[in-house]
Amino acid sequence: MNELFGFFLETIIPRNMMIAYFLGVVLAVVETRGLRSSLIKGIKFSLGIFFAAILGLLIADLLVLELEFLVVWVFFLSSAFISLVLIFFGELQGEFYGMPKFFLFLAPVIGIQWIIFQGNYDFAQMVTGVFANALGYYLAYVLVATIKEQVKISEAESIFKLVPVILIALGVAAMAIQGFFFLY
Amino acid sequence: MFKFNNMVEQVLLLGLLPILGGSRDLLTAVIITVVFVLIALLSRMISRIIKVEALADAHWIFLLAFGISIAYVCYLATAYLYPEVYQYSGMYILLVGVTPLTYLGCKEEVSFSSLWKKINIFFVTILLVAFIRELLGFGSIAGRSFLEVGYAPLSIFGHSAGGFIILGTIWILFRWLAVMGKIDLKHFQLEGAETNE
Repeated sequence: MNELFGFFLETIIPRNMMIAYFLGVVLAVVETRGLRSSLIKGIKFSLGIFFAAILGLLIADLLVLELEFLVVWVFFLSSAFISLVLIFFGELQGEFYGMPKFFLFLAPVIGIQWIIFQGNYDFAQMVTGVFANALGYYLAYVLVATIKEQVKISEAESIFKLVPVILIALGVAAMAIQGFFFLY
Repeated sequence: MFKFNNMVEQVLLLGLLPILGGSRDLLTAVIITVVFVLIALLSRMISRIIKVEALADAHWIFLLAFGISIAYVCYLATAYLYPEVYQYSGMYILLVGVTPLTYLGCKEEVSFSSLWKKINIFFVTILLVAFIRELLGFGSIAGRSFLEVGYAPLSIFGHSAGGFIILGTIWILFRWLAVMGKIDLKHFQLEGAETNE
């Protein structure tokens, strides 16, 4: 198997940003209504993560060694910029439990940028890693939307509804994904 | 149907990332909480000094930039003081700076007593999850191993799966106790502007 392709597959499933690193769980839980609408919404968020991560990492790559301490602010500003773009396109509007929804988008993007940045990858690996993370996020997002829809229509007691059960389901998914590690 | 819309649900949802990521062991949980409290209190202080009306919605960006700067300093300090925590959970220290729960106290409507209550809920939850994860996942408490040679811990609880399952279980347990009337939800009522549909 090509090394880059192996890295791509590893990043999508065993090192999935939502399941292995907990990034973007809140965004997925809050911003999913039904499965059908989430298929489109998920694409928007995944593209947002992709472009924000690429933008931040390219700018960070241009920084000279003496200014490398500025990467955190570069990552923050690039993710804030893309969240504004998403707000412009009608996403992340309003508040959730009293806080603006765009807050929910910042942590996954900065987290991914930080993971890729710490990996010291070359350009091809960087683009592959970011793309695989965005794709992995989309898959996990759709998974959360599916679980949420099923939990909503189930006849279970109200204490088992929504977030706690989604977390346990993601935990079971994480255990299943651990099984893929023998491939790498 | 019983409606779950209270302070505990708010804290667990808005602080989900640091609770899950920072609960690998007790030491990490304490460090994450210290960073969280530091940024929450400082950003609340800053929000009372700056003119929010003049900045309109941009005041959030200003506060976030301040918060992430503090988180970055804490991240570097952790790398120096606790290299093991930095190695496994360093990223989550940085991400406390963009966690929505950290900035809840910056809102005008949120009183200091309410913020303090939320900080306590966060601390108790992360400590509880960390205690169980460390105990089951690594067979130790606060770094002191007590498993005899030949006995292996349930390592899956040390990984992300353990975080999800333990937090989900604690959450369901809290709801069950609330429904049974063992916990009085009046103590965890949300303030006006924080409710969620």
